[in-house]
Amino acid sequence: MSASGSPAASRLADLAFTLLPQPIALISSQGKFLYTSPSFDSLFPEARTNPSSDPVIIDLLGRNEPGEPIRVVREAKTWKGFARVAPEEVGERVVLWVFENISGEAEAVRSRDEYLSTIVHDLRGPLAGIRGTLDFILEDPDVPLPEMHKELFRESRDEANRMMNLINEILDFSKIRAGRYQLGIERVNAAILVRRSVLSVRTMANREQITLESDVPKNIPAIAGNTDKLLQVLNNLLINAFKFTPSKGVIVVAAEARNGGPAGPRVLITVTDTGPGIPLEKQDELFSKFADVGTSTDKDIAGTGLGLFITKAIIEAYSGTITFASIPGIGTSFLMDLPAYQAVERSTAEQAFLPA
Amino acid sequence: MTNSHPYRGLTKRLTVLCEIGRVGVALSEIPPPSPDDPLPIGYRRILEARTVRDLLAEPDITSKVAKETSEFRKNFASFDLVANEGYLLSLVAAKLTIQKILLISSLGRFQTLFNLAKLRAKGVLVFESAMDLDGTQSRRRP
Repeated sequence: MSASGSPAASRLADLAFTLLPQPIALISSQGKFLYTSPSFDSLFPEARTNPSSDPVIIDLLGRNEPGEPIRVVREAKTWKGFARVAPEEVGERVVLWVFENISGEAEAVRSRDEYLSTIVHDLRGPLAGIRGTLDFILEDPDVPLPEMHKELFRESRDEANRMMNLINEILDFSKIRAGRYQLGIERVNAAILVRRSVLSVRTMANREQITLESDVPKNIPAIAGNTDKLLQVLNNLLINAFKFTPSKGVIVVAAEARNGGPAGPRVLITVTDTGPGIPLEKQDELFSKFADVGTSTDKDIAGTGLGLFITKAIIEAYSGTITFASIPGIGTSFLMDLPAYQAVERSTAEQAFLPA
Repeated sequence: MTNSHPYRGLTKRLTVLCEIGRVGVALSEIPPPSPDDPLPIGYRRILEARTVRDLLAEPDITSKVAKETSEFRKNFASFDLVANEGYLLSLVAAKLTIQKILLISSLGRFQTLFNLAKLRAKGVLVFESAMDLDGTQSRRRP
């Protein structure tokens, strides 16, 4: 490490780095440590001796750009790492990482999320009871009801189902925030996944007079993921597509194999609609919490605004990406790019957790 | 997340081309995808869906018979066709309704509809009602 000015100033700078309580590291453009402070060495004891044993260190050394801050939980403390590129005068490209202890802040957020999660979870029990009773009334042939009453019960059941979906979305969101959203990785047949997702909304398509198509070639590779979670993702995207597609429109769920370059073979699943498209000014915030692009038709399909946020979190947990193309006035296509099962090492296929 | 902003210029061109009915030209404007960037596939998918939507919006379209144009018959070598289109032409030769082509095509319903629409846009096919074709009303499937 060097500091401008006299050698004494340089030694003082070294000393300041050593005394600071925040863990600090300087990393060269070749991905090597130039300096680590004692507190950094204590937070990451194997950073220098065995860097490949710690995923956080692999991430730090592998980054060409500072990118997003890193969140690390070690020994019941939560740390947030920020990176800055050193000024050009340094002579070479050096990234400075500084970690801050944010345990107090994290604890406050965790308490709030747990409180929310508990309330929402407690709502689910009585609601399940209401749904069960309505199902019984509507499906038991021995319960004679005038058609008008049946219609009212059906509407009540639809509303109860909708409320259950909202509750489940909020619970998923809480789990993601708390880092407790566990995902297993298995071999997922892409053709069956698409077929099941299309079947699950076929009735809605008929009701809305929308042509629902699937387009999956033969011999599509399997995906490394989890069938239930990916179905949840596809259903989120399909519900969104229905929300924005007018009657006589077309919605297509398609899958195709793709060369992912160094990332290995991939499977791309797209959900495309002929809705009004997403306005350019709304596109940046689309995957954020409580996003509402606000161009839906007048359809009564409500959501928490968490659907796309949860969708993105799930896809990224499977080393996938989600993005979208949109042509205003013509339509929108959401693209989920997922690793093919063969591209996943057995060691990483055992389990995956969403980041806290 | 990659958003569509890197394709802002392309998006505007595609919008204009679709508005004037030049979906085929719009499709040719889309760059090939790269390993890092699948987004062009999304734009292709939107135009495919739009093409199929427009085709299905035509009254009684599935009961119509697909037929080669006289221009194509005279000068087929000048038409640039891809494999899927060539396959569909082999089915069209049997003078089937679009509904029957959809039943037997191995491309799947969506790709069959899209490629039939594309062949018509290229001037290879016309869709005629069965009555116009041979003076008799064909039996429609229920």
